[in-house]
Amino acid sequence: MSSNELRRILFVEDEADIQAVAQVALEGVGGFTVKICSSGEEALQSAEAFAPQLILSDVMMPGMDGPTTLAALRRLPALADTPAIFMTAKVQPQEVEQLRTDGVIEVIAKPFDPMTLAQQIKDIWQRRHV
Amino acid sequence: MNRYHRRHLGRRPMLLPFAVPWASEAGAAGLSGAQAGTAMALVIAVAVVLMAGLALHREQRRREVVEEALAASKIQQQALIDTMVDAVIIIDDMGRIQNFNPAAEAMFGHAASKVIGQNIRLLMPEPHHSAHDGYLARHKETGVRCVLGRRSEVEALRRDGSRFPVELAVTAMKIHGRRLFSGLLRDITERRKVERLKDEFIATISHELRTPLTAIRGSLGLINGGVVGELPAQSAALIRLAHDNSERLLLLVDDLLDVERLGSGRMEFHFVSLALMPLIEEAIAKNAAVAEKHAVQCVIVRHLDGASVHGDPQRLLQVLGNLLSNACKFSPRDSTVEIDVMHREDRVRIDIRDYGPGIAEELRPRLFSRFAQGDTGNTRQSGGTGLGLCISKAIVERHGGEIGFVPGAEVGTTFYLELAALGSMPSPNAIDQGRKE
Repeated sequence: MSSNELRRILFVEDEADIQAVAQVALEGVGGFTVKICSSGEEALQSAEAFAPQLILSDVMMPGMDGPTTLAALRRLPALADTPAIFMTAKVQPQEVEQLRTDGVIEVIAKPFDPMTLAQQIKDIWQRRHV
Repeated sequence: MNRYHRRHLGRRPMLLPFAVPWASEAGAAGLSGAQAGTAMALVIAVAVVLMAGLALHREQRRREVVEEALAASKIQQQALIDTMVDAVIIIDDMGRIQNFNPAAEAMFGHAASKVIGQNIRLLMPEPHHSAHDGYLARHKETGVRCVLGRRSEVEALRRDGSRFPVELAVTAMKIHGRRLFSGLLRDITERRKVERLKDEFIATISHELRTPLTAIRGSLGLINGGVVGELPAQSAALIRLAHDNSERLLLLVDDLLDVERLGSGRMEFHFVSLALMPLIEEAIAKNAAVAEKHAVQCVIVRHLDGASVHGDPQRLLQVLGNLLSNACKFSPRDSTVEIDVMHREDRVRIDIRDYGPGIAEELRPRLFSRFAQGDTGNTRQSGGTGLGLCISKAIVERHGGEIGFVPGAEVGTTFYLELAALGSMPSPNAIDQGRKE
C-alpha cells in the first residue's frame, strides 16, 4: 500500500439522509475510513484529531457554509494543505466556477452516483498525485 | 443655366398674347415702328422682371414652407427626445456632448447645460473613461466598431460617483460632413435585480429538488448495485424501476433548468476551437450505457479527420448525447445507429441514423417544441423528458448551426446537425474513409 493511497476522508454534510447514503458509498463501496460531521463547527472540532487526507464538504449548510468551513479548516496548521472537494447541488456553471476559486481540487455534482462516487474520488486523488 | 433662367425662358412665349394687344394700341396712338418696337421691348422687359419677381417670391415661399416643415420636424424630434424614457446623448467625433435629454439628466444627475460641450468620458467609469477617446480615434482611422450598431451592456457613472448598469445602443450619422454618434441608454439596475432574484430562485429550486433526489437516487442506487445484499427478484425489479425513474426525474430537473436558462438567454457558452471527431467519439463513449441498455451499437460509418468547429464542447456533447440516446432508445434491439460525418460546402454535417419505427407524422411539425412526445406506447416507453430536442435546437442555434431530421424511406430517421467548419478544410483523402469502429 503506497503512503499516497487515499484512506481517510472528512465528510461535512448537514443532511442526515445524504450522510447515510454517502457513508455506504464511501465506506461500503470505496473502503475509505470516513469521519462524518453534520456542520462546519463539528468539522473544526474533529478535524485535527481525525487527521484526514481529504476533505469532502457540502456547500449549502446552515451556520457555516462549505467555503467558510474550508477557510476555517485551512487555518488549522495540520489542515492548511489538505486537498478538498466540494460536493454540491449548486451546479450552475458560474457557481462551479466560483467554488473552484475557493481552493478546492474538484466540484462533484449532487445527486452523485453512489456506486461510482468512491471511484470518482480515487480518480481525482490519483490525478493529483501522479 | 440656373433654375431661374430655365423658368424665365420657359415662360417667355406665354407673354406674347398679352404684349401684342398693347403694342397694337401703341401703333394706333401714332407711334413710329421703331418707337413701337422699343415700347414692346420695354413691356416685355417689365413683364420679365415681374415674372422673375413672382418666381423669386414663389421660391422664397417654398423655402419658407420647407423651413417651417423642418422647424416643425425639429420641434417634434426634440419633443420626442425630451419625453423619451430612455436617455439620449449625442456626441461629435471628438466625444463632445451635443445633446443631453431630460431622461439623461435624471439618469446621470447632470444638468444638460453643464455637460453639453464636455467629453462623454465624464459619464464613464474606468476603464472606458480613459479608453474612450482612443475608441473614437481608432474608429475614425480604421472604422473599427466597439459598440456601434449593436446593443451592449456597460457600466455608467452618475454625477455622485456611483456606478450603474445600462443597456446601450449607438448609431453613427453624418450631418454636413460632421460625424455624430447618438447613444440610447436604458438603466437596467432593476432588470439586473430581477435577474439576480430569478437566478437565486432557480438555484434554490435546483438545490431543493436535488437534495432529496440525492438521497432517493443514492439509496436506490446502492440497493440496485447489490451493496446491501441480494433482493428477491420481484423486489429487485421494483427497486430498478424506482431507480430508473429517479434518474428520469433528475434529468427533468436538469432539462427544466436548461430550458429556463436558454429561454432567458442566460445559459453560458464557452466557445473554443474544437476537433470534431474526438468530440463525436467522446459523445459515443458517454452514451455507451444507453446503447448497451437498448442492445444497440453506435458506429461511425464515415470520418472527417481534421475537421474542427467553433463551439462549446460541453453543450455540443449535450446535443450529440441527446441525438445518440434518442436514436438508441428508438432502435430495435441488436440494430445499429450510424454516425456519418461529412462536409456540406463550408459546413460540417453529422448524420445520426437509426432503424427504429420512425417519427409519427403528427409529431413531426412540433418535434423540436417543449414536451414534444408522441402519445403512443412506443414513445412513452422511451423515458425522455420531452425537452431534449428543444434544448438541442436552442444550443445549435446559438452556435449558428442547424438541426433537423429526415424521415427514412421505409424505416428509421436521420437526425442531422450542421455547424460552420472552422479554418482549413481537411484534405480530400481524409474524407470518405468509411472505416468502422
